[in-house]
Amino acid sequence: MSKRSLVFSMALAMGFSVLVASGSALAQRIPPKDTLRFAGFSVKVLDPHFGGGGSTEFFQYKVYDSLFAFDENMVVQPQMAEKFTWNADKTKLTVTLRPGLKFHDGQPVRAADAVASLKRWSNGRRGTARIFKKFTKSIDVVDDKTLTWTLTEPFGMSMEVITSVRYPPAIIPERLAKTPRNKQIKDFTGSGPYIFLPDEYVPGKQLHFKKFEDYVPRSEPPSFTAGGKKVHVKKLEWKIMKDDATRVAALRTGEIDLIQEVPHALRKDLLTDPNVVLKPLRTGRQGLIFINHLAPPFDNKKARQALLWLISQEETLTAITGDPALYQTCPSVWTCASPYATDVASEAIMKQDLEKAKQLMKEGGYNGQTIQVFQAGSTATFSNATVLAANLRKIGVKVQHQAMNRGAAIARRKNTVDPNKDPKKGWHIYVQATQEVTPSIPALMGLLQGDGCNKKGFYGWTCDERIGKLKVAFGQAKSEAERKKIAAELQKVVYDTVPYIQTGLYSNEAAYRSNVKGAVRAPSPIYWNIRKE
Amino acid sequence: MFTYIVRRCFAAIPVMIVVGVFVFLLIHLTPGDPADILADEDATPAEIEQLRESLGLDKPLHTQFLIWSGNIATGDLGTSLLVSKPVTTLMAQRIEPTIFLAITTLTFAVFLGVPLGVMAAWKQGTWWDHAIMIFAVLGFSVPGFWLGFMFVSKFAVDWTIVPAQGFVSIREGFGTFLHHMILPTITLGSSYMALITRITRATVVEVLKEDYIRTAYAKGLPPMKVLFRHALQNSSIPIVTVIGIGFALLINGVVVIETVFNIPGMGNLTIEAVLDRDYPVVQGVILVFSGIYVLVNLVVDLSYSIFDPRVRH
Repeated sequence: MSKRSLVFSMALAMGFSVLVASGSALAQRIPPKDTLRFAGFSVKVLDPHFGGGGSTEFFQYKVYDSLFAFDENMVVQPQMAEKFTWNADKTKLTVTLRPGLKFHDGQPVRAADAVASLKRWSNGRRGTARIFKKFTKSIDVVDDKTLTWTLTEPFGMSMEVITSVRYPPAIIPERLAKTPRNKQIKDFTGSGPYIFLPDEYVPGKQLHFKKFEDYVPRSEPPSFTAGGKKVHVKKLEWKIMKDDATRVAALRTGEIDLIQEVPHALRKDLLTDPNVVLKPLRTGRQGLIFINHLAPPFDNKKARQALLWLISQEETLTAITGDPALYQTCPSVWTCASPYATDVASEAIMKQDLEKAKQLMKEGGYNGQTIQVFQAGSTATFSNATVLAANLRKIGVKVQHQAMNRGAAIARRKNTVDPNKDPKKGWHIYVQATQEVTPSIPALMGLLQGDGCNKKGFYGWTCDERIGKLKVAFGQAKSEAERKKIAAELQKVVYDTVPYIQTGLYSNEAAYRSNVKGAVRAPSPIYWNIRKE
Repeated sequence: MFTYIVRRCFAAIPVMIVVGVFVFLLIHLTPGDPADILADEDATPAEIEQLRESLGLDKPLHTQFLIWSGNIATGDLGTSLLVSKPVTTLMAQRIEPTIFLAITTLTFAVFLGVPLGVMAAWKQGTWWDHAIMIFAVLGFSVPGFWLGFMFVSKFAVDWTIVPAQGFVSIREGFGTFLHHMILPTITLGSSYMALITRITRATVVEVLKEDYIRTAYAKGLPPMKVLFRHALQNSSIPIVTVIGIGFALLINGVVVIETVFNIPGMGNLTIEAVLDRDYPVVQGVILVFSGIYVLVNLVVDLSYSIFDPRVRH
């Protein structure tokens, strides 16, 4: 064989090897049928009681279980609890745990674990946990399967509080629940439908879970976070992908089975793909415009009310989603899916009137200063802030709109400096979003505070004692009719004092391969009941 | 030679100290801190302050710096404030993809850039030269993230011949590893290759004008031998220098390309840590990157003596 032939043969062999390797690699990158692989956001904190954002809550739903859960009608249902009873004056709740509950390490779930977990959760930094703590006289173990929660006084929303629509109190083993609240646990033994695999965990890359074979699901069908949590896959792989376009490409090639949320701008790439299904699997979001009550002109109520007339929900939501199927205008502060939703005092938010907005801004003392608008996060909040800034300019207001990362935004929003004197540090308007379910129960709406007198309290520094009083009254109401009346009264106060403005509801769809079936819609992505065909 | 290496290593210490101080101040003076990130959206200011205390962020800046630099002196890069894992563990989990991406990119860029540069110099003024230079200008000008998305759209989504994203360790099979590295390597390597091509061409063109090249041709040596044995070897010092400097470009590029191709490497780790204000991770990663950069420069300096015997003497 000549030298040239030898080189040619070797090149041919190498090319063939690469082709064979490519074929095997192509097969390897498709997840097997008993594995659900999905693209999600990064998660920093795995401790369910410590803090962190929505991804921590998402992790929690896989690994941990809770005593109660909300169904799709926002009604509290027992989850780990088999039964629960109140005493006559509604100050003592007795909960009996379901038989057969086990932690991932094989140990039975005891009332002592639940009590220790509730205590640790109530020491956290979450609004609902604070309310729980405020009304708690004691939490006690009766026997291995029974615990009691004794309240300081009757509180109408106590079941909603112990269930908590966001970040429910996860039940962890007592040995772990003794960890101080400012120290994260490092052992993620839960009793939920999936077992976390710490050896396969690489922060920023992936979290893997396997089915918990000893999990005993409830017999009821799944509904929101309540009902039977049946797992039909052996393994769940959470791949962290930061870039939206990369996630979409990976779904289209079949490298992943599901994307939690598709950005609105990339929907059209998937709508025409016959192998992909688009469907909202998570409750929507509500856009919020926070106003700094310390900074002129918004220290004047009329200027704040001007913003109500300025905003068009339709315009804002169209800019965010581009598709009427994905948004809903809503007159209520309590989101339109809430039983407390009402259209009381909502004329301004539902009917844009730029002339009236201009007049009110003038009466509110606007004197030509530049209004500092800032936001962080998704393209949705960017669109929301952009539409707001454009409308402000239409009525002759000077605006500076700044988009920034979350860390910088959080630092800025707590700054009480006057933005008219120091525009780089202070702010007038902060645009953000919250989960649709967050404001569904007035007494538990942590973002609505009236404690901002003397530059203290929650950002925005709304100083209106009516808010706190009505929230308490709502919690103590004896009947649903009374609650609805108070919710309407509180909405009137919100539209009068304007701590923030809600700009309507919008959803992001999940996208998944067409062989994925049984996905359940919930406030946080949950992957029980889901299977691959 | 040994004394030279030791002297250079010691000279790197002040550089690392300056980098350390600079990085520490830069990240700490940026608005926002990890307590804000860790706290829930409805946490009260008092609760956030308690969290800051528990993380040690309430201490004066100089105290925090002294604690950090004291730990560094003992080889402890600290613990992530957010994921509660040692910085060294986080880096160990993420360094492999970045190292392999750097190796494949360097290999691609050098093995394509140098021959193309030599070819352009040899065929100076012809359409070969113009075509290679246009190719180089494009490679240098087209943004990596755009190129990456275009590659993914065509080769991964439309033709499904390569994966759209991800990294597979070489331990899981060379074929699968290579398959995942093709697009990121070409994307990251294109600008680097263009730089090497241009520098190689420029230096070889100069060397080809030298008398000893004319002599080599006069002796009857074949053109390839003249080009690669005499011209290229005598042009190597500027080329090797550019390869070293280009390493800094590579580190910058890694941050973007790892995001586009979802490669869980050091670039991704850096971005996450900066956005989360995870001070120990940012400080640790940048310190290690700068250490690698100093090391690469040392290797480049030492390689001069291999390519140019005059340096040895």
